[in-house]
Order: sequence, then C-alpha cells, then structure tokens
Amino acid sequence: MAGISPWAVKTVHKGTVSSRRLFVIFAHKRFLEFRAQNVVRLSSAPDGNDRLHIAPVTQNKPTAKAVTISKAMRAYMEQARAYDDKMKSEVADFEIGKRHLANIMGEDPDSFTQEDVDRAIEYLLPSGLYDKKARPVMKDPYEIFPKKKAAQFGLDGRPYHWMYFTILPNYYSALYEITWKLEALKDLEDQMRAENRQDEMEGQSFNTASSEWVSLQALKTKMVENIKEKEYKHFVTLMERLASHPLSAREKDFIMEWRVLLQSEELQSAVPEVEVEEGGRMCATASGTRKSSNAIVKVYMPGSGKFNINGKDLTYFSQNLYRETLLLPLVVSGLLGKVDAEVDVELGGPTGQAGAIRLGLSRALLAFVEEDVKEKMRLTGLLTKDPRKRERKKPGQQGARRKFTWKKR
Amino acid sequence: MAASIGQKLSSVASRTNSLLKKTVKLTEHTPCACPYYSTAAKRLEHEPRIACRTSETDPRKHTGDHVGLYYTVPEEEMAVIKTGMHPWHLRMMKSFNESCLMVRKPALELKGYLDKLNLKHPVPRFLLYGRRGSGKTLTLHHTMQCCHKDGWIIVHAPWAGQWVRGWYKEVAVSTYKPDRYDLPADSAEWLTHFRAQNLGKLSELKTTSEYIWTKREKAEVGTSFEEIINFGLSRLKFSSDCVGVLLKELRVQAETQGLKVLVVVDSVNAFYVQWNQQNALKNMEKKQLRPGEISLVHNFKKMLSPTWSHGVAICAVSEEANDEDKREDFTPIYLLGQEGFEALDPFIPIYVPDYTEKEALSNINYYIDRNWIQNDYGKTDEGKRELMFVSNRNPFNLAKICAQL
Repeated sequence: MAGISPWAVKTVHKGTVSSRRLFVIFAHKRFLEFRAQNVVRLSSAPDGNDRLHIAPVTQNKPTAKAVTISKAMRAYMEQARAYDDKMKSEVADFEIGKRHLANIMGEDPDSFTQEDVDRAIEYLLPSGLYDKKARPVMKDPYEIFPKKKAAQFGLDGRPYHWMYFTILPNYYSALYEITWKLEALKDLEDQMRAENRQDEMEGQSFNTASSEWVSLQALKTKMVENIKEKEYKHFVTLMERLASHPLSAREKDFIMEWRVLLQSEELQSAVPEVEVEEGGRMCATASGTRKSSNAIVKVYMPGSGKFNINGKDLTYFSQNLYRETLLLPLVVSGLLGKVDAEVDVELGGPTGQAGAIRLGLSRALLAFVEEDVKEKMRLTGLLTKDPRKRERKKPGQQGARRKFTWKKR
Repeated sequence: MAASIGQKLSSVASRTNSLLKKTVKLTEHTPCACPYYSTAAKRLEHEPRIACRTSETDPRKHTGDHVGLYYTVPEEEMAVIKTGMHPWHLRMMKSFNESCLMVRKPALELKGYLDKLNLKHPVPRFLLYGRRGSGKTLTLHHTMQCCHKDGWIIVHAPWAGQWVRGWYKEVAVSTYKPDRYDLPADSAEWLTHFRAQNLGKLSELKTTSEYIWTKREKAEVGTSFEEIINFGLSRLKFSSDCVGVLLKELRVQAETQGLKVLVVVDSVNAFYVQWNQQNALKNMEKKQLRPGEISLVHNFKKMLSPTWSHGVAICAVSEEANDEDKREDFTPIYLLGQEGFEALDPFIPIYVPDYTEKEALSNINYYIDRNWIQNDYGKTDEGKRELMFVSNRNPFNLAKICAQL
C-alpha cells in the first residue's frame, strides 16, 4: 500500500474497486506528509500555532515554465514583507529597550525577564489611570501588534492547505482528524469483538466528568477561523461521538486538547496544607476576599466553635445576617461546633468582611473534609469568589449608571 | 512529592474522620419530675419531656444546681414585678401563658451577698453590667422577688432613662426649689408602681416630720405613706415632692424602724450622663436640662449615696441609656463616665454573662416546650447548634431569632 502514490488514490477512488475508507487513509496520510514537509514560520511568536503559520520553505521545484506570479500574490507579498520588516525592527527596538531598562534599573540585561520589565515600567511610569489597558506597557511586539495570517497559497497561486477551498481549512481538517480517529476506534472495537476480547474494553471509555468542551470563542481563537454557532455544534456533536466510544480513553490526549478542566479539578491544588501544632491540634490557613475586604482565616481542629475575629468574638458582627454568612460553610461541611477559627480581616464594610471570611473559612475547611463534601461545598458556591466590585463613577453621570436629572430647560 | 502529599492528606482525612464520627451530644439538663403548672394545652404523652424547668418556685431556695432552669413565678408575686417589667417581657409571658424566669448565676451571686450582709453599715452598692440583652434586668427582677419574699421594702426605678428624655413631656418648675424641675406624670406613675410593689407594708409607716405643700395643705407628723401617695396622685403638681418625701422618710426610718430597704435602679448611667440634644428634657425656655436638675433623679441619687444604712442599692448600667455614640463598651467605668463612677465608687461589680451552652439549650428547649419554636429543624441538635451560633448565645438575640421560627 505504501507504494501507491497519493495521486493513485484518486484513481482508485474514481474506480469502484476500493472503499471510501481507502481514500480516507491516503488522504490523511497525505495530510500528515504535508504537515511534516512544511515548517513553522514565525516560530519565535510565544503562542505560535502551527495551524496558523503553515508556510513552506522554498519548495517549488524548478520548472521549465516561466514563473508567473498572480496579482493577489504580489499584493500579499508586498504586505507581508512590510509586516515582516516592521516586526523585525520592532523586535530589535524591544530587545534594545529591554537592555536599556535593565541598565536603568541596575540589573543584569541578560537575565532581565518580562516580569522584571513589567515591574520596572510600573515603577518608572506610575499611572493612576483606572483601566489597566490604558496604562503604559512594554511587551514583545508579537503580543502587541495584531497577528497576520501567513500566505495560504504559493507563488503559483496554488493553495498550501489541501482543504483551502472549504474556507475553514483548520476547522474541517480537525473534523477530518476526529472522524479518522473514530473510525480507527470502531475498527479496533470490531477486531476486539471478533477476537472475543470484550472484557478488555471495560473501563476504556473516556471520563468526561471533570472537564467540558472548549467554548465557541476559544475554538475560534484556537482555529484562527470565523466559526459559526452551527459549525461549533457540529464539532461538539462529533467530539461527543468520539468521547462516548467505549475505547475513547485511548484517544485521551487528543480529546483533552479540546476540553478545559472544571474548577473542581483545579481545586485539588487549592486545599491548604495541614499543620500540626503543639498538643496535636491541627490547623489550616486560607485567605478570602470579597469586595474590598481581605481575610486570613486559621481553622483549628478539633475545637468547640469559638471564633476570634480581630480580637473579638462573633459580636464583631452586630447583625445576625453576617453571622449567618459565616454559618453556611460550617453547616455544609458539618463542622459546626467542631472547629475554632482565628480570623484577621481588614478593609471594607461588614458585608465585604463577612463574605471574605466566609470564602477563607470555606477554603480552610477543605483541609478537614472528605472528597464528596468538597464537591458539595463547591456546588453550594462556597468556593467561588464573588467577583463583584464597586463600579466606578463615570464623568457626565451622577454615579456608575445613574444619569443627572434631565430637565427640558 | 505528590505521593507524599497524598499520603499526608489521607492520613489527615482519616484522623479527621475519627473526630467527625464522634457525635458529641449536646449536654442538656437531666429530666426531673417537675409539676406542670400551665393551663395551656396538655402535653401529648408520646412527646419526650425536655428538662428545662425546676419545681422550686421560691427564689430564696435556688442553688447552683438550678442554674439554667426555669421556675414559675406565682401570680401574687408576679404582681410585684409586673408593673416594672418591660412590655416585651410581659408580651412573651402572655404568649407562653405562664410567667417563668430562668435562674442565672449572677442572681445567685447577688443573693449570696445579700444573705451575708451587715445592714448596719452604710448602704452597699452593687452594679450589674453586661452586654445588651444578657439578662441584667431580669436578674434584678429575680432579686426583687427574692427580697419581696423576705419582707424588704422595694424602691424600684424600672428604667431611669425615662426621666431624662422625651420632648413631649410636661416639665414643671419644682414647687420645692426653683432651680429644679418636676415631672408630674412620671412621678405619679412611679408612686403607683411603688404602692403596687409594697402593697400592705405602707399603711404602717408614718412620717416623722411635717411637710407643708401650700398655705392650706400640709402633711402632719404621723401621716401614713399611703396618704402621701394618695395626695401625690390626686395633686399631680406635688407628686414629685411626694416621691422626695417618701424616699427621705425611708432613709431616715430604715434604721430606727428596722426596715430593710432595697433600692433597685435599672440603667443607672442615665443619672450621670447627658442625653442627646434632640430628645433631652427641656424647660420652658428650651434650655436643655441636666439629669441632676430633675427632682426625681436628684432624690434617687440620694438613695444611692452611702449616707444611710439598713438598705441595699442594686443598679444596672445599660448601653441604651447612653447616647448612641457612647455605646462602644459595656463596662461600668465607660458607661457611667467620670462623674457617675465617682458617685457610685466603691461598688461591687457583678458581670452578667451571655448564656452558657447549657443555659442556651435550656432556653431553646423551653421555647420548644412552649411551641415558640415550631420549625422541625429547630428541634434537632443541628438546628439548636445553629441557633446558638447565630445568636452568639445572647439571650435577647436568641429570643429575637426564635420568634421567627
């Protein structure tokens, strides 16, 4: 089979002898070969995506014909050259600027990282502007200037990508890859069934519990293509089909490329470490924030339900509402009256402080509860930070949203 | 590294589990066979009896074993403390269809002091202090009932703040001294309260000097206290003077007649701190009055000074009697201010704490018993724990929260 050239596949396909799958195999193979032959341009870009920057190193074989360059190509080449030149000079400027900055800050220019740059800029050009995007910044030019798609066709006007005319080559080649993998799994399944090895298939399916499919927005960015809602649905359906196959765990890495982890998975690392104090008493520390308040909560186990908030007991909060706020994590975790807490809370008002303590308390309690209780706490929303903040006042308005009273005259 | 952390966590989890599995039961009072006094709906047989009461209705016989238990105040003694009670307490008692008070440690401590007192010494002062709603006033009532049974004469100012505030009140220039001001209505009210609390004891007491009200009206030597009170109630203009006369006679006669006088002043700090601009009492010229200028307050302050014997003064300081910006602390020295502290010093401070766990449970059980808590979750151990947490075991707070359940 290996001897048959890709072009031969087409012939075979046109004849009725071979199955469609044969065509698929060869086409896929051709696709892989194509990928191997092409190198990644702009590889210095930090998140250089090979899907985006596919372009050949001069691969055009010398032909007898005179090379004709299409008009569109010529225009593109001019643009690309201008872009490349501009980026080259920008990068050079950036490198020199970075060294200058390092010298100004009295640090070693060779080991001056981006974090150092950010710190230096914040120090040298302090800005009180509200919007962080409006503040001075110094970054790699590839992060600042919008990316430009590399040429999708060669000098002769022939597209590089074999799915160029689908308009969404990356999207459709992904679908193609999924289908191919699914077919392979199906084959394998058939084979295993034929060999009576069904019991080996147990537990071979992919577990979807802890992650979810990438969003449409993320998919668009990943593909660098304008994918529509309908196409996204199609993609997810196909992916679901792959993921629900009994042998899908074999393609775990591929599937996980298109999935994002849920919060619960990330939480595992957020469980605070348990320290054992003198006398065998365990304690765990966590911090929480809400509005402008910050709280550091230290939970002791075992305890008797005592609270020490900034040196006071629960009377620190005069209203029952705030005590009820603190009550919830203790009730959900079932540790009411079994732990003591030492709290250091600052800034903000009682609502923010109570919320901050609640978050810190919930996080600290994670150290003492079982997995299922952790999940319960997450579902209750105890581990989710309330992202709401005070909205700024706008000029020309009375407040954040409220307008001045309108008077006709 | 990851394995070691996993191991560590699992070991912690197992240790935690062993702790979690220990179900610590809330320690309640052991049930005792106490009679059921109430006329309310009869208890169902299958309901478990919750121990929150004691059958010992005589407050003189209460001991440390009774702390946290409720005792029923008999009807006739209820009449003594009823008139001075806050309407809120009376409403609760009406809802419960019985009048019960909890035996608290400060009341027992106070009773212990009173039992061992040498009455020949100048009047000792006791000062109750504690957080808002921790039971200072009910401790006073408990003690008053105790002393009433022992035959003491009770001089009770239920809420001293009433005499220094109010923009709607009638304020008259004193008939006795022109730079002092009378509160005829309040004085009359207090006279009725005094008569109700000492019913049957006042007719035997007679005045020892002559009091001239006007050119035509006067009280001869030997006029009974009853008559003085009746005069004050019929001639409101002189009601404040009547209060002064009664208090003075009590101070004078306590020693000679062998009386035992119990002076009880709730929220005594109202006597010594200036109430705020808006609601302080004002005279006809709209001038703000100091507490000392009000004749009632002036006379009661004399009862608190150690210039007489055969009496006891029990006071309570409360945050409510102070201006809103002076309620940061509940200690006597903060609430009384310099002047008040110097006037009362030396005194015996008695701290009225919030409920202990046992007392709070007894209170919740009492509410359950009275069907005040009807929510099923409130009757479980977890529910009770939550109630205690949210109220921070403050009696008044607990009552407020339970009112919604």
